[in-house]
Parts: sequence; C-alpha cells; structure tokens
Amino acid sequence: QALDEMEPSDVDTDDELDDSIEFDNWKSRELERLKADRIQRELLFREREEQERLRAMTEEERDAYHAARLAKKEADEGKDRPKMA
Amino acid sequence: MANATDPLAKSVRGTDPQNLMERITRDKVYAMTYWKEKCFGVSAEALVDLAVDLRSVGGIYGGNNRATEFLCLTLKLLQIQPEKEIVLEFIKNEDHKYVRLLGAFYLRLVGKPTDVYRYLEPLLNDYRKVRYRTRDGKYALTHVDEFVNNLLTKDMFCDVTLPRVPHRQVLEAAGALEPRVSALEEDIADLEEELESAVEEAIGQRMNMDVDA
Repeated sequence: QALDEMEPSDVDTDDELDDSIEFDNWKSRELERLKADRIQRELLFREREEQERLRAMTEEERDAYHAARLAKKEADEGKDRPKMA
Repeated sequence: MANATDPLAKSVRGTDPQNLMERITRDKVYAMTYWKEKCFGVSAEALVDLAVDLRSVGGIYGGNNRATEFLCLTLKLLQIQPEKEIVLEFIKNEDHKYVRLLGAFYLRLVGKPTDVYRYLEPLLNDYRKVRYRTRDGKYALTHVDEFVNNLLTKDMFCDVTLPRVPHRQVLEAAGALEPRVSALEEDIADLEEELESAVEEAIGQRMNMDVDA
C-alpha cells in the first residue's frame, strides 16, 4: 500500500465501540504506571539512604566500601566477557 | 516572513520558541504544502479549527521525511505563542481529542515543570482512542493516556526533544506539587499489595547486581 493511499480511517478510533474492554485495558496501563512510579520512588529513597550511610562512615570504612564495590564490578564484567581463545 | 516567530513572542528557556523544535525537523514542516496553505498567518482562534480537523498525531513519516499536520500545528503554536489560558482551553477540550493532544504537547514544550504535571496528569484518565502516524507512514492505534504518559516519561517524542522536567518525586519533596491520586485507587482494593510486590520484585533484581545485597 502506497503512502498516499494510506487513510486515517484505516484505523478505527470509534470510542463507542467496546467501552468496557477499553476501560479494562486502561486499568492495566494505569497500574503499570503506578508500579513504575513506586519503583522509582523506592530507588530514589534507597539511593538517598546509601548516601547518608556513606557520609557517616570513617575514612577506612569508606575505602573498604569502594574497594568491595570495585572488586564486585570487575568480577561481574569478567563473567560476561568471552574467554580469549 | 511566514516562517518567522511573532516579534512579540517571549523567548522560552532563553531562546526563540521555534528552536524547541530542531532545525532539521522545522525545515520539514516549512516544506509541507499543509504548512504553506493552511498555516499561513493563522491566529490562535483559526488554529483551533485546524486542530479540530486533525485525524492523527505523530512526528516525521515516510521516505521523504514528511512532517505530520500535528507537527505543523505545533510549530505554528510555537510561532504565535498563544496565551496560557488559550492553551489550557485546548487541553480541557473534551469534544476533540486531537485539540487536547495538541495543547498537551505544546504545554509540555513550553510549560513550567509544575504546570506540566498539574495539567497533563489529569489526561492520564482519558482512555479514548487516537491514531499515531508511525515512521513508515502507517497509522497505529494508541490512546490519549498513552500519549500523555509518553510526554511525561520520554526524552523525545514525535521527533521533538522534550525539555527536561524534574521527576515528580523531586517536585513533591520541594513542596511544589501535591502527590498524585490515581483514579484507579478508589477502584481496586488490593492495589497496595500488588504495588508493593511489584516494587519488591524490581528492587530484588537490582539488588542481585549490587554489592551489599
């Protein structure tokens, strides 16, 4: 089908048609949105807590913390990388 | 001349409002017959009539990278910069879905972050069907609430870069915004439970990757 023949009426947007189905679909979309919002909030909250914790640490603790993080990160990357032939 | 911004228009975020649409996209709009014939010298009132006749939303489409009429009218709004009240009337319009979406899109581009949330979030309850013209020129079915959700969450939509707005949580923490009450909350009793389990699942996945899990 050529572009010029493409009519908007190819897609039916009559809202009277199946209202209850549409409403149910909307409910599930809205639920997904609420979930995404919650998750984002939780992550933001955890990040802030982490910052607080880090700030309360002594110099040595902080060094240990960063070293652990770095080791973990390198280990993870090593896992994904294909072994050299 | 026809492509110039209204000399009385205020600059938005320190620049000519038309610059909110990228140059390359704007040039596509300027090249459209619809732009030259229908959008020449229209006022905000006349623009409503054009918006009523819209049959789809979308950005750039087709092999020749044509701009949709929706995009043309968006650029026209950027040019003539109607008053906020007029834009809000667009958004409040119940009868014409595309007028509403045009107003919402425009407000997302030029509005203050608090206004963006305040006036667009109510539209998340509007589940009427609309057409979205995809890149290949075909029409796809979408809904008003999906369109608005894209405006609120995406960086780029309809081939226009959406200005950055802070997360809702940040504005709430600053006291600029009341928490949003979803229309769903009166409806589903076990909503809270379901949300919490979803959060736990998502966080759990992330914690596996983290160091002190």
